[in-house]
Amino acid sequence: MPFCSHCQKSLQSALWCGACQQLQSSGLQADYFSVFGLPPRYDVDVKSLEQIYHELAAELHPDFFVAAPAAEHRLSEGLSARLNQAWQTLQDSTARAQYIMRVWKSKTPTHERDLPTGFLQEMFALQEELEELLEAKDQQALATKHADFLQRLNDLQQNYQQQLIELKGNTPDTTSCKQIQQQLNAERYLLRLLERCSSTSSETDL
Amino acid sequence: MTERIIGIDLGTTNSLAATVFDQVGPEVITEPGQTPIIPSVLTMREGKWLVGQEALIRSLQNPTQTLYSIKRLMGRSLEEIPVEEQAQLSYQLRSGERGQVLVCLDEQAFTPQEISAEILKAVKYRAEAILGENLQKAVITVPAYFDDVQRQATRDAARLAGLEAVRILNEPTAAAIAYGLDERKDGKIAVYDLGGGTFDISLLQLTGKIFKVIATNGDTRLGGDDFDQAIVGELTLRILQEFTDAELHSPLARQILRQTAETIKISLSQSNEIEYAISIEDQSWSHQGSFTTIELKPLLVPVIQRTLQRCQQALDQAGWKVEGLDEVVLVGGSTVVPEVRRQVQQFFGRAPQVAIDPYKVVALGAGIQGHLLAGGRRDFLLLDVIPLALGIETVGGTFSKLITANTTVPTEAKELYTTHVDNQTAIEINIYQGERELVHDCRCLGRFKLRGIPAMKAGLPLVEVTFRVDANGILTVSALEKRSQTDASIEVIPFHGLTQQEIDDLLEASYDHAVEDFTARQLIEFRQTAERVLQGIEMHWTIAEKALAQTDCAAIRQQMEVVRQRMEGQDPQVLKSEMDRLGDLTRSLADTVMGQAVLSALQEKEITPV
Repeated sequence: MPFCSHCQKSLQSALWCGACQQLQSSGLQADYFSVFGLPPRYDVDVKSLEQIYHELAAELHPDFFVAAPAAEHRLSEGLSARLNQAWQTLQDSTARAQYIMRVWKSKTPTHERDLPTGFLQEMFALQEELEELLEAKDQQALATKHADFLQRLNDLQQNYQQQLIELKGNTPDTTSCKQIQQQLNAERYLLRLLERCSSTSSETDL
Repeated sequence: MTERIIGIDLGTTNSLAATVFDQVGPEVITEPGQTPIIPSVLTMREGKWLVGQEALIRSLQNPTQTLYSIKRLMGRSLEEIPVEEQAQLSYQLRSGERGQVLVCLDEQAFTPQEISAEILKAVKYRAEAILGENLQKAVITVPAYFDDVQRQATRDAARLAGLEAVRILNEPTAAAIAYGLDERKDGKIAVYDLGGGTFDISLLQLTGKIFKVIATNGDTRLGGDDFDQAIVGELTLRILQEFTDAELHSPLARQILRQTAETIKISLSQSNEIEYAISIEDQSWSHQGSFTTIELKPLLVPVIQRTLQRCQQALDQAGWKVEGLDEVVLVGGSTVVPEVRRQVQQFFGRAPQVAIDPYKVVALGAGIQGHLLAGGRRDFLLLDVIPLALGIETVGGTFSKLITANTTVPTEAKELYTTHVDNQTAIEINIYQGERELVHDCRCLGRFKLRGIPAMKAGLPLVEVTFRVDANGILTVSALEKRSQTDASIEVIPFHGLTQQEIDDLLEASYDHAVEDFTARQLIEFRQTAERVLQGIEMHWTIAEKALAQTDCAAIRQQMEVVRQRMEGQDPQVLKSEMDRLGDLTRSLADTVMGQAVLSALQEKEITPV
């Protein structure tokens, strides 16, 4: 954990010193985990994360720095922005996985566009099927497709989440790093298919 | 506490102010027994602005010279305002600098910012007179769905009125503050805010002292005005059926139809049927008819349905279900319409909360937020969101979102740019706001020109552009060339709204001839009040002579003379203290007069057989 630039005590959050109540300008570049004073591990208790988020927001928000010197007001705005982004990222299981992979990326080579073997061909086939169903406006078949995509997505997410949790914050080796990244990339395709599925079905509802 | 920050609800139809009083708590700012509301209506007399009730009264005498619903024009260009909406207005619009809409009055043309500034001045002056303080800071509310341009326009209007808008606050959020602090209960609340010209739905999560907006949606061109227009449409049909040659497009005809429609709408909120009569000067016909709630309903339903679609979108964005809500709060004058309440109740499956006056709740919330910003309290914190995505134009005119809708503010996003030709020293970025895929369908906020990039081979410079959205939901942009660590200078070319130079010019012009001095305004205000009080005493003098002792009467007479003398003087505080003395002396008279009024009212009741 870093230390307060003002009173030198160790910091709970990289953004703010609980001991002397000082804003930490170094917090503007802090990684999202240290914003909450947490080690970089995938398994996060979102409820307690939210509690820390609220406590920090109530200290850092620019609303409480209206009368402060302009530089301090600006700093509170910047730190609040950092805090909001950190919360938004870490509270979401997918965004959190993507973020933690980015943190690790500096240590192990990853493969931005890599996909599991045969996945792309499968996706193309599914996409084609979906377009036909959309064309035919076959609501029942579309609903089945939708359920199928959801199932695939769930399986995929559970799989990589399990892998991430088992790492317990240790940097993964090249093989498992590649595996996780592949699944995260695959997830984006599935999400896009799902969106295509539901956006068009709600359009036909109107 | 430091300097007071009042809350102002700058509405399409009505405006008012509120603040937190010591020992009393949040209250609207008004004189006892008077309405706090200033109608957002303006006209000019002998080159001077008339704002509020006076302007409203004159609106039928000079319809083309009466300005209303100005909020609908804020931060808009003329071409963005649909032709049929322009046709409904009884005043003229034209296009000004950068396509910005201008409002024509007499031989002059004004920006909506200047006109809104006059409304804000009226609110400010009245609040100053009542509070006896000079006010320079305010929280000003806007529809949650206002985009960056409309927010900037509101802030500029405040500057022109001599007010610093310390915060631009979303109206439904302001209402949530007023309700939330009233009840102090954790849970999920939906705020349904239907005003004169705008609709917002905001979903909030209350956890302890944190008020967090989860999702917001709305339509900045949907409101009670649309109810009126639907009724005007029906009235027009009826009149033309009876008198085929009736001329209903003149500004006067439009104004009369609009006001009749409004009266019908308001009356049918209390009764099931209303009779009306319409005739227009210079036209030989006169039309009479009646309107029932059953006839009204089909005219209102399409507008209400549009609001409910927005509610569903907001719920979807939040990932919430109707059943999961703990409370539904109604805000805005148009929510007093019974059909609105019925449909909202049906949609949300629960009776909406209306404990706080829907006309006042937004101003009250703004007043409370002002109290917090002034350092008067820290018992709650509002975390609001940006209503529409912000992004840039990329290849092929696609809109690349940098910050998505419903992101908590303040927030920021960074983007790297480079050059395409050798020794290129400037880059242009177009910034848009909206929810569509193509920039063509989004709002262009402006063009940012990055200059001063060091001359290098194409693709070498790395310019990091930071897009910051502050707690007001307003965007600022800065840039840094990473290789040389030099700040690239940014020139902002707003596509709408006023440039800094234009604001400065307007401010200078207003200093030149307006009576801006606080003391002078206070003196005028106190003189008017004194005049009213003196007249009031004269009116009831016969009662005074009967009810009060002769010495008391003499004392009052003497004090009245002192007040008259002070009215000629130049010191408002001296006048005020003499008026207070007069008030003390006449207190028992006031009680007697009041007693008499009650007595005669009671006597009348006795005469009328029950």
